[in-house]
Amino acid sequence: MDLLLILAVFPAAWALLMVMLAPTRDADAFGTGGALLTVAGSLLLMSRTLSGEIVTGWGTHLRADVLSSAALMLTSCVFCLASLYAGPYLTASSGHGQLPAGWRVLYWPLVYLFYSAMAFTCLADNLGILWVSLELTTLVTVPLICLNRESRGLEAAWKYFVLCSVGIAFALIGTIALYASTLRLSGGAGSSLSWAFMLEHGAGLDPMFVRLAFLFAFVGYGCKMGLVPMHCWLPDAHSEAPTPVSAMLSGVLLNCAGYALLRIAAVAARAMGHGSVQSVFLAFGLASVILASFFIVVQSDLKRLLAYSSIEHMGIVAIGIGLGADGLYGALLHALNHAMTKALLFLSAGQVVHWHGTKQILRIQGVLRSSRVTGLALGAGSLAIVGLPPFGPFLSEFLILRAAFLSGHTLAGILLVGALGLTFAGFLAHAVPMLLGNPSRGHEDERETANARTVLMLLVTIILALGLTVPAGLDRALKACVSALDWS
Amino acid sequence: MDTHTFSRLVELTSYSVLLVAVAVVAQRNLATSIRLLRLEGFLLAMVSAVIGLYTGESHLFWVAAITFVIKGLAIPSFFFHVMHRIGLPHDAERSLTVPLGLMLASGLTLVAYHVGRPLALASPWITRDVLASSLGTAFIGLSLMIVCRKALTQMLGFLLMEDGIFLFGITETYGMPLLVELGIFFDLIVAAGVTGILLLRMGGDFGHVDVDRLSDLRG
Repeated sequence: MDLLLILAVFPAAWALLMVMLAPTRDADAFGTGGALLTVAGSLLLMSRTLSGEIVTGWGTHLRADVLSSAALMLTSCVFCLASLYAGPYLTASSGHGQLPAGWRVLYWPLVYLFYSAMAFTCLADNLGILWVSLELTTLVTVPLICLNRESRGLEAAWKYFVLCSVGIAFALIGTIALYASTLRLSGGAGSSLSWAFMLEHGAGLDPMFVRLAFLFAFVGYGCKMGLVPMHCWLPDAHSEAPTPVSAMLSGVLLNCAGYALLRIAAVAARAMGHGSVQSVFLAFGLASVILASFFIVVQSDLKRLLAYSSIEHMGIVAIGIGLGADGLYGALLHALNHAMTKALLFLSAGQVVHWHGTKQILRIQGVLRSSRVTGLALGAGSLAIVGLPPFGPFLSEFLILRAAFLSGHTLAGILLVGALGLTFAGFLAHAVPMLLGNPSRGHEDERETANARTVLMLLVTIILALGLTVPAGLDRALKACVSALDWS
Repeated sequence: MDTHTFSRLVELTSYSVLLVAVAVVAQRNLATSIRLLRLEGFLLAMVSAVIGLYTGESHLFWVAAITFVIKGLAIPSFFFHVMHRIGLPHDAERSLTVPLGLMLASGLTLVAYHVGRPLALASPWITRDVLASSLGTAFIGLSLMIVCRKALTQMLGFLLMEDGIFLFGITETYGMPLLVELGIFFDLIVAAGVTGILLLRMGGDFGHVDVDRLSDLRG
């Protein structure tokens, strides 16, 4: 039985099933049920790869080591939580006339195709297939972003499409160049697009070729990951999308792009040395963190605030990758922490935006009083995202800073501390007035749905638990990922 | 086919692709641009077929046939359809003037030549000189997407860029694995469909497809 192919194709098949049966009334049950199955599937894969086993499928086009299955597991978890949240959200939104009623039938198939494309990205061995599926994530999410028939959504979707497809076209050039470099391998080792093959023969690849390929791929996948200066599409797309889609875009799609980049970087590092590859990550990461921190300070729109914070955190992840093995450990942990925290923030902010009918930060106040659960979730998420203990992101940011100072990148460490400090002040200056104070008239007693309450509390628990300790299984998985990439 | 004829043929068609890309920038009529895009699709199909004949790789004939149908026939027709549905006068859509466009195109070709030089020097293929023309085509498409802030021209630029990358792939590797080529074609079709839908909605909702006038989202 081809486990990997099933894991990647099942969601698409599920989407097809939903289109054919068109269960308007049970669409949410269908959607949520399928999401639970995807989590079960990724857990199954994780249990096999954690011991070091490599699973292959679909000929040799798919391949999963522990890093692939970790990426898939994170994707499926956020996907499942967002799906749990989505059902009541869709009902409430179509009640308010924000979404046309017929769109619910389209929402579910589209998010399942989105998930399927991300699963292919995580499981692909063939870098060509990886590119095709990552490009497909852009194409599938374009209609999701302009789901609310507002002109702003349309504008965001167009800009998203234009910038991301330009960016990712660069990655295709890089992928082709990598393939071309395997054609020139001496000793007739054969040509291949497989990252495992390239990693194995990395030392024999022509460094000049690989350098060009890596730079093109970095610009391409870095654009999709939201690194400065290729980030311009991100705040528009993430802020205009419907709430559960925003959570997935920020929480996991950025990580998938980062995953793709990491695979190519590992090959490039074999051919041209770790130092030059890592300095590229370091430079772009620092630029992202610093620029995003300024935009966070001056932001007036709640969802755009969160989007800029995503750019900042992707920058932190890139810095971690640029700091060698210890930094990579922190970066992977930070990707997990950021995904959970950002999903929590987008889902709770979506609730607040829905109640107030505005995304303007200044017009929202007293969330803690108007709803205990959402207020608590938004508050915990805000404290976590700025890096306060006892939440997960504190731990991973601390590990990355420690790696920076221990590996002698003192300047990078100092710049990172400065930017984090600025973000801390800027973000909380926005968040605190929203949380405290008296709710405006008509918002004194708001209630979230039971699903939303469960999802928000679950996410708060997760980021709290990740802040207190790194569980032994997670620690093992992260260490295995670092050694699988041969990062030093 | 002997090596000499082969390399001359590939060079001739590749340079024609670049020339057609320059021609797209060198006039402001959208309908003509789409016809040029169609010509480019035919040229790309020809390059694949020629390389297939030379190397004897049968899957390249499939690639040539699919390129002919998708890039040569389907996408230009669809583009015409979208343009007529939006109801634009043919020459209303281009913010780049012709002299500026030509200067940009020649500059970008030089950049492509410079970027591709180390690759071309390392390449064992006899057709390595066409590398600059494929990258140049891609860069010209890219610049159309970035400089021209009109949605239809951006779509044109996107398709031109795809053409350039396709040429880069086929002349640099003599054919990617068929599965990957199929995947790229699939993405191209979906992309064309998605942009078509977006353009029609923009035409319907805003009454124009001028990206410069879309400025609600800032900061």
